[in-house]
Amino acid sequence: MGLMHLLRQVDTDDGMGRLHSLSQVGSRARRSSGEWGLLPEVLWAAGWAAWRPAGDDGYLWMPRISFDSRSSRLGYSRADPLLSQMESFPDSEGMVLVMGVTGAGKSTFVNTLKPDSVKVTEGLGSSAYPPSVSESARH
Amino acid sequence: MTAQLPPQAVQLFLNEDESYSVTVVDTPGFDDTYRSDAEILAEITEYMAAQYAAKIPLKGIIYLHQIHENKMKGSGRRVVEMFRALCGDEALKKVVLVTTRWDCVSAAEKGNALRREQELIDTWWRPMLDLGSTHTQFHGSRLEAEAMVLEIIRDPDRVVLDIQRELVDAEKEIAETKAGLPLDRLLAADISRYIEQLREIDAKLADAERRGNSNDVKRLKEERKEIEGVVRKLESSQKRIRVRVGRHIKERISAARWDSKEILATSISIFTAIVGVTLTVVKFAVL
Repeated sequence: MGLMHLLRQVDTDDGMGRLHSLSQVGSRARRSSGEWGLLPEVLWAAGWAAWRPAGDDGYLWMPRISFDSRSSRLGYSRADPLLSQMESFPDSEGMVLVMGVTGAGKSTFVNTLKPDSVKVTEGLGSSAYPPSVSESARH
Repeated sequence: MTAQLPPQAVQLFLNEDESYSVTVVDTPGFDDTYRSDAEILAEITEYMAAQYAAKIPLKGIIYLHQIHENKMKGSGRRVVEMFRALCGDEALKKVVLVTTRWDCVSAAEKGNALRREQELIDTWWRPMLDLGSTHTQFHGSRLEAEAMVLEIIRDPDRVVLDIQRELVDAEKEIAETKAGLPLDRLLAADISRYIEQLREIDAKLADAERRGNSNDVKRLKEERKEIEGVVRKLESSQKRIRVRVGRHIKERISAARWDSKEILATSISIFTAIVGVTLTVVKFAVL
């Protein structure tokens, strides 16, 4: 488990509160390493999560995606946004499961839905993170 | 050995005030070289039970198959049968069957790839397509992936899988479900067969010891040790699916809701905490 993973988990767990998220990270770290081998990473992540640039809303590194006319081949457009249909949606949240045999490309598919800058395979030195972020996080 | 990525999910907000979202979840893969079918089935059913018990509407399933796969492995039939048993016929209309990695198919390979796809459809997917599943190709772009997800959620219906009714509503063991029963029977038959082999080896071993043939004794003891290891693994697999996963998941969800003591604790965040996936949140904006 890389540090990027931990960071994202701390910071994107929606609505549970940071402390809860952090304990979740800790439990994952324990499960993955079989001990508290990742504790320093977890604590570092906690420090990072505590830092916020002004005006940040908790989704620091998430570029926004667009569902405009160029973003779908099936005809979703700004003139016909999903918003207009949502009034009739019975559910405010839904889930889609991605399944298949190992190697079918499930992870790739799910990763594709993320903006480029949050791909799991990118490392801490990636350009996805402005240098100032890691600098600030250390202070 | 391929590197195992941590399980992950992406929550896409569909409007600016964040009142609507869809979460796309990567589930454990079937037919893994390094894990038993029982272990994989147990993990997959945990995801399904947690989604249902957390009362998150399931909008559909995207089932992926890599087009480079020359032919379905010997286990292909078993995987398709297990997948169908998990879903149930009624839910198949919310399943999208997708061939992947088309972006890696060269112009020269395209004819063969299309033939493989047709064979796949004719041999394995036809019954599911006849019951309402749809089929498409994935070339690796974000636009395609988004379009696929949006197409699924355009349909306001939600779906409940057979396995969810069996595990969460009826609180059955995985081994008692339509998907788990064939596997449990297979494991039980294998265990019986190997135990019978152990008895035969014991008889041969006693004979070799009586004759004082040390080479045979050594060989038979090694053989016995090996089979005992296999039996232990099979019994462990059997144990893995003889659990009431639905009941456990419901208890864990209740505990998570209680622990969080937050009205803000969303079903999605509880789901991710229960199954241990990394959640990435993507906000909506019209650029």
